[in-house]
Amino acid sequence: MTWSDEELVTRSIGGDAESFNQLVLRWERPIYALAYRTLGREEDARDVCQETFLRAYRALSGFRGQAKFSSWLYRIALNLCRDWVRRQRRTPVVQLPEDVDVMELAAAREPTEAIEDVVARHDLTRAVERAMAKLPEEQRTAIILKEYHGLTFQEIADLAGCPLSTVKTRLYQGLAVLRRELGKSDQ
Amino acid sequence: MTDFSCSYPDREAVLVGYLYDDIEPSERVAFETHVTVCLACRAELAEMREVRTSLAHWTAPAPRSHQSPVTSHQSSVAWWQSVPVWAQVAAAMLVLGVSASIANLDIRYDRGHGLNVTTGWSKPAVQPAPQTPPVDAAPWRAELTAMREQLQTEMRAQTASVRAANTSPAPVAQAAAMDAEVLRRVGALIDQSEKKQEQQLALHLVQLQKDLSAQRTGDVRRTNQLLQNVMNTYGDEIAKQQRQINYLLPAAVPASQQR
Repeated sequence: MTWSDEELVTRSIGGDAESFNQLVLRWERPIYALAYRTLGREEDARDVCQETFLRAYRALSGFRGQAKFSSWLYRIALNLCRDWVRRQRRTPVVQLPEDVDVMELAAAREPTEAIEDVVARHDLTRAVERAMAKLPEEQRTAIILKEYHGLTFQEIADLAGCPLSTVKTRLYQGLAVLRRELGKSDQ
Repeated sequence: MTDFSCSYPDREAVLVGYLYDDIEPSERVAFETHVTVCLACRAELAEMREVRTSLAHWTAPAPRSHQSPVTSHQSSVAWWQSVPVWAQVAAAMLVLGVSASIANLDIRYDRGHGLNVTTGWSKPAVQPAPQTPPVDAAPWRAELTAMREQLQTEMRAQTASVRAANTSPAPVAQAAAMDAEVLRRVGALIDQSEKKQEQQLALHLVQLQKDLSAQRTGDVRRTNQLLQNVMNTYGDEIAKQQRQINYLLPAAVPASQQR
């Protein structure tokens, strides 16, 4: 039987640790991806992901269900990412080494994919990462939540604590910057 | 750069809503109609879609499987709770027994010297004449016996409670409270044993220090003796050599110099 998030939360509050583990399994990947795209480093993303679930577990009894569990989790993760960036004084969003590991690229290749295509895909990924790094934090967060996590404008507005129209503006402006930056990398 | 000038009301918000399909149906229909006639909006929409296609290439790596923040904690608690109380008591006693056997403790009680704790590697060279009273009279033995009896009582009580729980289902909370109480008592016993072990260890350390001191004094005495022997042996030899030199020296001096 598949329990809903809210049912699993209720069972977790009742002391069923296995229910919480199911929530972790269900949301680990999205939270990790959110942290990775925000922070740009795998180990930082892993730490934030772990800390997110730890905090969620501790604060579970305070979860009243006004919002979706996933939104609550996203809020914790985003707050942690924000604190992390401030504390570490790191430039958010991916700082990959300049050199390209050909062996790694070859390993990432699909069976039917030519190595030239893999390199092109890799270059495009790098270009996206660089372009995202140029965005202000609010615009980047809005794009990540919308593009990769499929949140509604209203959910993003609730998470960011801003009006719905502001979210749309941030998205529009962020996409405009990305269009310009990606256009530059094409040249 | 493409010029996207258009006066559609609330254009940016509507365009983004349309792009992500997060828009009211009526607004959607209206904008779709507008796009068919507005070159600027059509072009911008196409470019925004290209951006989204590019963004789709940015995949986050899969998280390396890590332990759930509650799995380890909960599983350890579950493991602990799943072990019967009598087994926990037995394990505690086993640990104490093994600790004592590793230390190879030799505990003696002497009316004159009081409690004396030694180990296998620090036994005194000369044992005092045995004046030990019967072993059963030693206080530690009495305490150990008392502890064992207490544990047996606890275990009997626990077994009785388990039987009672099997015959008539007692409330879970009561059983848990009983377990907690037994665990608390076992904890207290272990603490008590730890304190005793610490005291014995302290006594052992004092004894060890005494042994080392005695050993050191003996070594110094033997070294001095050896040095004295060397001096006696070679001192006589040196004196003899000196006498021979003194005897031979006048004979070696030329007669002219003697004059």
